[in-house]
Amino acid sequence: MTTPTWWSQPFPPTGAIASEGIRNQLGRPPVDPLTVFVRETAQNSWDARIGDRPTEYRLEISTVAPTHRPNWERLLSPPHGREPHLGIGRLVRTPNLRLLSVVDRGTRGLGGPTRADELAVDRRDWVSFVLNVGEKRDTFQGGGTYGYGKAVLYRLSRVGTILVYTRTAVPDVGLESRLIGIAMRDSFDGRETPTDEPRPFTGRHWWGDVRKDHVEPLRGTDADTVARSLGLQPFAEDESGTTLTVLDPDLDEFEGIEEAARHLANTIAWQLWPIMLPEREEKRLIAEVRAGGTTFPVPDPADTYPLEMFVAAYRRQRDGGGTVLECRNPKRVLGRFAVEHEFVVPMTPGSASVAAECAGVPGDPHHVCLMRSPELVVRYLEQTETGSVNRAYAGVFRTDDSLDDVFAASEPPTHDQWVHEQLSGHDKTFVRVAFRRIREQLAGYKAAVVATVRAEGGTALGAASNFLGGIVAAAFARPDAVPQGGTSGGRGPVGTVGAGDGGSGGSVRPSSIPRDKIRIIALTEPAVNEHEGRIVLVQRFSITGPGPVLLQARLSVGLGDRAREDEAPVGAARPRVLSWATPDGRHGSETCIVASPSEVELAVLPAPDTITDITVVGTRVEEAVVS
Amino acid sequence: MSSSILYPRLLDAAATDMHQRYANLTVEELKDRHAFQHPSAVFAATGGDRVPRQHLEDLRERVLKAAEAAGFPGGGRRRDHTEFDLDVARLLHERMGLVAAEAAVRPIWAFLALVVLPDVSYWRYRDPPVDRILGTDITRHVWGRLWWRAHLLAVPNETDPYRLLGIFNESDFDQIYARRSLLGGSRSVMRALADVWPSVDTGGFPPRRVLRDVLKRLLRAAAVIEFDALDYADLCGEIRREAATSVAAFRDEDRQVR
Repeated sequence: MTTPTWWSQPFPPTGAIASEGIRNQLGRPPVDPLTVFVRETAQNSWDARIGDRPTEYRLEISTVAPTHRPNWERLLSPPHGREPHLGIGRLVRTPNLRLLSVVDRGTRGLGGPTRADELAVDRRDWVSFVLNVGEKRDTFQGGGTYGYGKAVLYRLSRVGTILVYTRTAVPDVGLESRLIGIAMRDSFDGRETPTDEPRPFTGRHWWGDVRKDHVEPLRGTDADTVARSLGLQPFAEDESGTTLTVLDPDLDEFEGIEEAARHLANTIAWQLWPIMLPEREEKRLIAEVRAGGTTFPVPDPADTYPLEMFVAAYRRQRDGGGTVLECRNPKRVLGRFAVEHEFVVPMTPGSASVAAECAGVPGDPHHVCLMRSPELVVRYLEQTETGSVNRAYAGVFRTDDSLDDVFAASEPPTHDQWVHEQLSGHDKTFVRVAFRRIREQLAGYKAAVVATVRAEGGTALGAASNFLGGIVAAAFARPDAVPQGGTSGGRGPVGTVGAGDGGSGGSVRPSSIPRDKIRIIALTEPAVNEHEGRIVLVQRFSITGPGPVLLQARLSVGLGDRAREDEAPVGAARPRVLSWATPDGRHGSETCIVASPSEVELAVLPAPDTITDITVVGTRVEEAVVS
Repeated sequence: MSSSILYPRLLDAAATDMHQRYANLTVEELKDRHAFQHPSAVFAATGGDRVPRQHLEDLRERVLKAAEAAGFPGGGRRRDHTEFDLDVARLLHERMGLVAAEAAVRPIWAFLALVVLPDVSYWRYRDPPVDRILGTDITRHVWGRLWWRAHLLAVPNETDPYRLLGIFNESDFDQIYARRSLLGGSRSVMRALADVWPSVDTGGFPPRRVLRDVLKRLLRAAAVIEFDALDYADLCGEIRREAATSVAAFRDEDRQVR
């Protein structure tokens, strides 16, 4: 029987990517790490589906049982010299070691060779998941393109460590179990053995059957025996699949594991609903969340407001309804689009689940869910709000299969956006036009109120119709549509962030979500002021989110009714930026860069006898550009 | 107008279907298809009296007469179309007894174009895009746009309430309609503009360009001046001033280019 040990990767003479590089490949994920975690792991499991049976996907939050803990300590403690760089020795001695596991069954497991320098005949899942970084995946209708997303697993673990336990079909052998540990810590200088010369190490470590200059997984019964002694979910006789276990996950933003579990269940519903619908029969994902021995059911997307609207729109475009969006020059079908609208009793602000906020839909929807051929949610794209709080709409845009590659290429590593700037030529046009067509499809929702207001130049009826809309909507909306049941939380008093609520079912919303988003809030109404004998408009703004931030003032002449002038009359004056007052002084330039958080005061020279429309937008400046 | 007359509304599905079929027929064939009712047409539940059949027959007869004067069912010259449009605009506004709210309903225009006047509709616009027939955009509908033109420019209490109708041509009106949410919906501004326009000296610059620029200036002003509250003479004065500023700006620009 092989006893697993740790091995640290030294830098080879030709250089290699350091562990920090891998962990940071995602950039700063703009959404909450658990959302990225769910998206990435589910995508992995989904890509590994066998296809003749539903794919099971389960997230489990657990602690190492007292009976197994001595085994963890015995098997996973690193050699003395490595402990400072791994920190796992200390962790496995703590009493309640917490684990977050991703269990998938009805999947193929991680197959193929276990050395990156071996040619693979057909599968190389092991190599691309355990060893390589940034390898192109070519699964048919696969969700991912490059495997950068796995970085989230290491980032979620406070010790940057995961265990991979998989069972997969190996030619001529049958089903084989494999077990390996992977750690991504900081790079360091050290010695391979106490007598060696010091040399640099990449910070990547593996735990398994150590060979001369690489690590093989434990295989077969060795793997099963060790896995059992650690308490990992065993495989049934003829079952294949994978269990990923994150050691000591960072769940600090939640009150307790129940709340974390509920958030995971909601996140699954929001991010994975298209592949969970029952009509997909064998080709669907069955998801579940367990924590502390309790099962937290995933809300049924077809019966949960507002997801059900997206589901209805999705079904309509899939069944040939909706509209085909096209690019005219060059002529090409971009995809199908459908939208679902409803009269609703408006949700109270802050009553949406954290998962919904992380998905970008923090209230009644006016969003379009974007998806490609694999039918995984790319993003909920916010669109124009409707004229009335009682109207909501949810759309689905699914790209045409023939353009799947193009849209895939426009996605960042987190697969949560289509960035046309990333492409060139016609491809760029297709992605850009897709967004424009979607906007055009939804133009009607905005126009409705504005257009009717002035029809007879007399009294505005918009306000009255808004009131009446409220009365009508009360009759349409179902009674259970407003308080979203126990699964979505939001029962606690809004605003008491972090206040103890006993964790007894009522959940208090964590404060920090959505993180990493630049917010610019007007602190004052614009005021007329005098500056060196000239009339100026002054308005204060606060900036929060990741900085530094490049601020741009979009100034235009307002035309009333929220409209803005897009083209000025010949020779007519236009409002101009006079200056920005920032914490480090006054800038007379068009734009300015400020630290975040901070406050600025914008002074604008208005055009005489007009309304001035001021909008300030902020974009994050990479540190490199500033320094 | 004492009480409003309600017109049948042709449901979208039926309208789309008819348009697809009619697009391939000749004017002669379409002539036989005209009718005064349709199984897929419905009335609004309330708001006025349902239009009597005789009224529709009379309307068709009058439109046909105007069309024949303009060369129908033959090709007809461009100028004839312009005159035909003016005649019909006046006729529809005078005879239909519509109120603005009802005239903003797309399906009544689809009914008129496809059921009552299919032959004349497809004669006026050969191979028309859907909005000309279904009224998806009323400002482009073969009949709807004419009614609105007349409605915006009519001066109800004068001997010839439609004397301003000919001031702007089709493309001028496109400019105005493009800004309808802010300006084109205000009858008093439109009326004053039409009243003033013939006397504006455009200084040799293309009137269409000047009109476009004046409209932009009026938009700016409309945000801070409630035109509907101005006395008619003041309103005309305001428009004259904007037009003069506009022409002066064109001159300036012209000089700089040279």
